[in-house]
Amino acid sequence: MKNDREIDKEIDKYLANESSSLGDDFTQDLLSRVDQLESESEPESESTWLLPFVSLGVAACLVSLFILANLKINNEAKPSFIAANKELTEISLEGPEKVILEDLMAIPEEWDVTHTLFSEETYDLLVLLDY
Amino acid sequence: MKEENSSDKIELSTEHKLMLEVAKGDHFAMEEIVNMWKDSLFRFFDRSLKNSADAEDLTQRVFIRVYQSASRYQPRAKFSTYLFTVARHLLIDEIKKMNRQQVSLYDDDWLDGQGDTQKDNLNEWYEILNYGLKGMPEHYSTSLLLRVQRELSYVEIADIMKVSESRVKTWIHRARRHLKETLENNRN
Repeated sequence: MKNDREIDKEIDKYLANESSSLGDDFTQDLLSRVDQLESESEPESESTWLLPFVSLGVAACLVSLFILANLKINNEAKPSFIAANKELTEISLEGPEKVILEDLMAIPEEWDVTHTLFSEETYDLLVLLDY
Repeated sequence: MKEENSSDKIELSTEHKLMLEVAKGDHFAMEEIVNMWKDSLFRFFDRSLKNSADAEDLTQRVFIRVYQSASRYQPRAKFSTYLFTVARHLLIDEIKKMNRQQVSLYDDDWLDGQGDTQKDNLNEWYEILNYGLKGMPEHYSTSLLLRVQRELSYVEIADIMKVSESRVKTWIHRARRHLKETLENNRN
């Protein structure tokens, strides 16, 4: 019958498991496996390396398409706007209003006064005073 | 128990340097790390799992994990702490997998049909201890194995297992008591 100390010793000996070991084959197998994993992951890493550039290219294409589409819409919209303006200008300038408009445009800036003009009586008074 | 001394520090520094080389893809550095640690890991797994084949497989998986994460490795703690933290994570995954597949961690053939005469030999002692060790919770057996096999301090074990030092002491005490009780209950 073993005493408590001997039992502890025996337990430690069992747990230490010093007789178990792995041979050199293990190391070689493991390194081969590492090589294999590396070669398997290579194409993946290449694609991973290219991924930002591909994404950037796709994004650039989308932006270009968006800009081109907008330009096209603007170009299609512009002639109608210009034509409408042209039409409007032509109409307004050809009518009798043309003269009025030109007269109005010809009014010197000094005339563009905002204060109240003198009344008829005031003019008479000024004449009387020989002003 | 083995205390940390200057030679350990030199060894540790060597392992950190080797890991930096592994991160650069140096297979010789990897080979050196494998040769330095393969037996320690294998002994740990061999006592934690059902058979040696599983233990060998898990040892290999630890090194592959170490190799794959070498570029992210930060030498903050002792290399052994890092290595056995990885080992424990894989062990827990493996035990969970076995539990899902309802695979027992121990071979219980010896419990029935074995003659009493065999119980006298050392092999029988080890069978009983095997039964006791694999029948206890993983954190009990891991803390006890790290203490006995690696001769780690309670602080280092607590670091690996991410618990307090006092909890580690309790686990180790209970694990030992469980093994003794298993021996007493199964011996004539």
